[in-house]
Amino acid sequence: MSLSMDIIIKELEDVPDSCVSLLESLHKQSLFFNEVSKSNIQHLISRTLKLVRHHDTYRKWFGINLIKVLASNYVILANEGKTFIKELVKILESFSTSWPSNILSSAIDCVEYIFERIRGKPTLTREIVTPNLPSVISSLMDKMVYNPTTIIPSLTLLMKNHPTTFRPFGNKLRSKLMELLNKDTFTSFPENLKSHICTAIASLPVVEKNEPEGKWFLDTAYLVSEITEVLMLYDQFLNFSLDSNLSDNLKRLAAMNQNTSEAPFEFSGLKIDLGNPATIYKISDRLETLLFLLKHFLTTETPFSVRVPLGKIILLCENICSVNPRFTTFRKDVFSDELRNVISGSIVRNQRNVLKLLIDITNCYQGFILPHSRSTIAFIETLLPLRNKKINYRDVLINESLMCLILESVSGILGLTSEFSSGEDISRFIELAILLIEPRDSISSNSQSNSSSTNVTGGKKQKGSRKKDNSSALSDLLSHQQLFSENVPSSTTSVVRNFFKIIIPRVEINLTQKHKIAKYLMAEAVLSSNKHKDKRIDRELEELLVTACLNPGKESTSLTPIVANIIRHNNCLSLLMNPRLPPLPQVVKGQISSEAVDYENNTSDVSEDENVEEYPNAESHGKRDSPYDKASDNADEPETKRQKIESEATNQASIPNSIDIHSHKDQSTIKNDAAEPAATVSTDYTRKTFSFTETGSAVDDSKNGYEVEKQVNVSTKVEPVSQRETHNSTLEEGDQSSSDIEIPDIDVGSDSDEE
Amino acid sequence: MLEESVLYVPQGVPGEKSGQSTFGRALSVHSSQDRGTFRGAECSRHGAALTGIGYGERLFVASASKPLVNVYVWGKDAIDQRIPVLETLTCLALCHHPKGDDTSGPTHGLPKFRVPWLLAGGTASGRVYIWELASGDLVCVKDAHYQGLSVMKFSGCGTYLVTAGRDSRCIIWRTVDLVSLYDEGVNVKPYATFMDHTLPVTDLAISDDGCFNDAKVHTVSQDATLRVYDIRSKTLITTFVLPMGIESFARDPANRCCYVGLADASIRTIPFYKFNKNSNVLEGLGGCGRIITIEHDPNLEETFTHHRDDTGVVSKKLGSKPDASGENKVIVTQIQISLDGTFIISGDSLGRVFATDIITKQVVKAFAPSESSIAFLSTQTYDTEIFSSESQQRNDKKHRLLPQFKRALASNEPLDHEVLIEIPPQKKKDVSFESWLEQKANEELSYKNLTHIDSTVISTKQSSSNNETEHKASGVEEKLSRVSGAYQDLRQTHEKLLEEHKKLLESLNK
Repeated sequence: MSLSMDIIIKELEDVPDSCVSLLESLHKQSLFFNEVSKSNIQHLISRTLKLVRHHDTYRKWFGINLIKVLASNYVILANEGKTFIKELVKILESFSTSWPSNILSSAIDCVEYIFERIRGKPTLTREIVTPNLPSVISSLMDKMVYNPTTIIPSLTLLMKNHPTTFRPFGNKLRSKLMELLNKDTFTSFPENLKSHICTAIASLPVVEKNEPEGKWFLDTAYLVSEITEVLMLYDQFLNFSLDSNLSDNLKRLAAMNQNTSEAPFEFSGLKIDLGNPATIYKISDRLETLLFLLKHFLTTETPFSVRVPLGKIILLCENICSVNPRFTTFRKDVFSDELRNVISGSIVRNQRNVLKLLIDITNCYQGFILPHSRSTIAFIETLLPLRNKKINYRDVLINESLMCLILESVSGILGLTSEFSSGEDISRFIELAILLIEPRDSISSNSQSNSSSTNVTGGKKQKGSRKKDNSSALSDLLSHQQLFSENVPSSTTSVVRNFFKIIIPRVEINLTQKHKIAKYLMAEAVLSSNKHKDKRIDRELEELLVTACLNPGKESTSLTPIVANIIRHNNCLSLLMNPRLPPLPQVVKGQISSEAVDYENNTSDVSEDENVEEYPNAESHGKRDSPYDKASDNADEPETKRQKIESEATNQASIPNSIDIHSHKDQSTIKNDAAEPAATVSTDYTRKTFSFTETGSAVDDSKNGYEVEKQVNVSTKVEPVSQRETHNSTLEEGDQSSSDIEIPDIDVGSDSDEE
Repeated sequence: MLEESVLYVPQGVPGEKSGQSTFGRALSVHSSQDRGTFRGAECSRHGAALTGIGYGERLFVASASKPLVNVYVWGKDAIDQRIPVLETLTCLALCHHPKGDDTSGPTHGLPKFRVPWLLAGGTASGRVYIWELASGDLVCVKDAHYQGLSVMKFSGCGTYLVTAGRDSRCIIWRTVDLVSLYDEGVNVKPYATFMDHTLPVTDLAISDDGCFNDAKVHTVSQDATLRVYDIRSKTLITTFVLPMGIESFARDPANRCCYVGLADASIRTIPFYKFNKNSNVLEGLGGCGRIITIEHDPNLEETFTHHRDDTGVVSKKLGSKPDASGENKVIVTQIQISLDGTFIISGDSLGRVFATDIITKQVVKAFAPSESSIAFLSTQTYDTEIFSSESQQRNDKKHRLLPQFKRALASNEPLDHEVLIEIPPQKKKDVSFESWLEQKANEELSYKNLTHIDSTVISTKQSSSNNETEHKASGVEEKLSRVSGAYQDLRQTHEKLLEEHKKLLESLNK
């Protein structure tokens, strides 16, 4: 229900109670503004402009939103677009912190919308966009500090769509963005703002006049070498010289920017003080920034083809993962445990960031990643926290986010193939996934560790006193143990479930792990169904259970009965339990009953026409020389014949003994055209087709005045199994002769052919 | 508006200069719309590959006589790019990028120029070449067959490459194994080799419709058999024995039946289910290595005969030259099935292409015939919008061209791996009007007072200003009265003085 135009105009006289209902009403009517009188439209526009120009911020904000709704009508946009944009530019230019920030965001949104509506329309672009674009860009750049989250993506959009107009502003924008990027707090910016900044920087090569793809490549190469150089700082703490492969690779990667005369990005120097271990995190901060920027260079849309050094980037990822205290020993001067822990923590952060990059490039480059898939999975495996050839549960929990990223990245790579060759390569990852979803009994494990430590340090007095101190706290643990179990975070559960969904159809999992996975799935499904109304379970869990049923592997026992008990009303599962065959297009021939033969005689002229009209090899039927002149014959068909065909069609519809394998009307593809008699003899559920043999006996067809050698078979079709009973009952109730129809087999050879 | 088109490429007339009289054509199945011609497009059977229909897509045609791969783009008749290769290729296969895990749906949009992942070519010597299209790197050279390759295809997911040759063998390769250049010590071995055929394999199809456990390979051969292999178990499931050699094959999209082009120019339907009159149910045919003989069909109940030319009338009309044995033997070289599974689109050795209704067995459309045998045929469904003027590609040859194919095997150094691509746009979330309105409702809240306390500051400035005005007015009035009073006084004084002056003048006159 929407307000009429008169009411809307009246409401706009003063401050309306609620703008939402007015905007909604206007939006609904915007398609039909052409039907509104010109005076009303003028009234509406003048009142909107009055609101926009008003000093009251609410009226101004409302006016901006009204413009957006009005601009959805092309006529208003064409006539008033110029005025609207001028007013909006004025607001952008005069915006100050004394105004609410949503005025700025609404104005930007409105400008973006108007430009988007105009894009591709040359006259409007010339009249409205081109003259106003520089002022819009400059005012947006001036106001960037007020609302960077809104303004930067807007500038990026303008840059991509109007690179030539944007060219004079390119350097200014780059310096402003680099200023933000160089801030120490960049890594703590919100994720979307960081993403907007990096996307804008990655899009900047678009404004280059000559060879933007060259600029893009230089920027990317510089980033790779810069990352390598920052990574080499770890050489101060770890013995890189022991790993000749790593040091060689790092040198080769660092050499990538040797050709560049000037650095495209200027980063401030890093001040690392070993006396203040916290400064070591600056290295991982810088790496995080650089990897984040590199990720955006590699995934941000380019309107030109770019040369992506994919091999180098994969190698870079491998090298970052290789900088690992597990494989490279600490230098002798790094002896403090505190310092070593900080360095290890910083390295874990690098690993996390590199995995994020890997996930994104796998998603973007798909097949190009596959030649590197084995080596990539191998170096990801080195990140697993192994102790005594087993994954350490404690380390897994400490670095849970890293572990989830490991599983995500492996899922992404495995998802690129339908089958992964060896299960052994990923058995460690499966083990990790199973560990991640194990129930976490934090208190009991702590108490266990406490008890073990007391045993080690062990005096009787100490043990006794601790027991006394903890007795009150432990009493709750003993009486309400279920309240102390910690839930697995939902993000972890989601990652692990997705991992299982990927590996189950692709990898041959060993039986022990498979049983663990199955046990987990069953337990989760039951718990989930018990928790929810209608006993429904989570969608992703349901999909996973169905995947497990569809891919049983070599296991002798089936999950299907359990899953069927838990999941109700799942289409895929239903199809698995009630296997159906697709409806066949092939007509199954039937024996001709007496009634059918009569019908056949009556319709002989119809089938004959059909054959003559459509059959391409006309010489085999003696009627047509060429298959290419069908249309002219259709036009020549006598009107009397057409009427006859139509009357036959009504007769045919009453035949009870036809059984059609097609249960749906829409499967019929025969056209409803008198020139194609097949249509006239087809009905909703009973369809007949006629086939002709070339060796039939000659029948004089006096109605058409020519002879056709033919043998007409009435074809019957079979209902799907589920509908068979209904038809049988129809046959029994109907004419006795109809029950004589037999549905023979498709002629595919006798049993003796089987070997 | 949706449209379905058929694209066909002829084999070329032997002895004629290449490209003089041959055209590849793209024609609409349901209308008379001509979607493009490709001048000089000719290849061996299965010697072409199509990335898609519309601007930004490409047609690869392996020259039948020269070691060249010709690349065509939509909207341009002539060859866009000639890429020399090491040997003359007899068949081509294209591998698109694997879709990956599609739980989150598509994440990227379409770039203007799409570059598929791999192009594989087979030669008459039985060698397989694979190039990475975005880099031009030759990533694999493999002596796969003892004789020439007749057909090769990638599975839809890109995981497998199936090659078949004149040596009657059919080999399944794992694509990752073939392209694993950077893994040292990987010995590329076939995933599976099938040697059941006794004569050259002429066509094959891979059915991997979803669940990979159900993936199958169908191969047809001149030995008159159609063999169905299970990929996962690497076993022969069913063998269909036909009355004569098979030249071409197409599978129903719903896997209900298949269609084979026989040596007598007929197309035979082979159902995958049969109706059991004893049990009154539909049953699947074959399985467990069964051999099923398909008998002659004298009543033409399962046979399409529109390609037959027993009298030779059509051959004469089309000016077809007899083969080496002096016969004008017609064979169905290519078969495709329409999107809805209701039309067979087939091409023959006379260059004719027909669309035939499967139910009525009648030809619904005869396409413009080619000058020579149909070597490649493909059907595609698309939105006609892709051919509108707005979506036309920009004239940017620099970014459109593919890198030339390398003639030497690519280095196994990962550092050298560079790809030339247009990075696709990331899919944006569409903001509906309702969600925008919801956002505005939230913003509006910041202007509304939801408390019972009216915190509007009533400024007393207004009243003071009134007082001030009044004060000012009274001051002005006072001033005015003073001025007017002074003026009156002055006037009275002036009048008095004037009177005195008059009196003085009168006294002086007297």
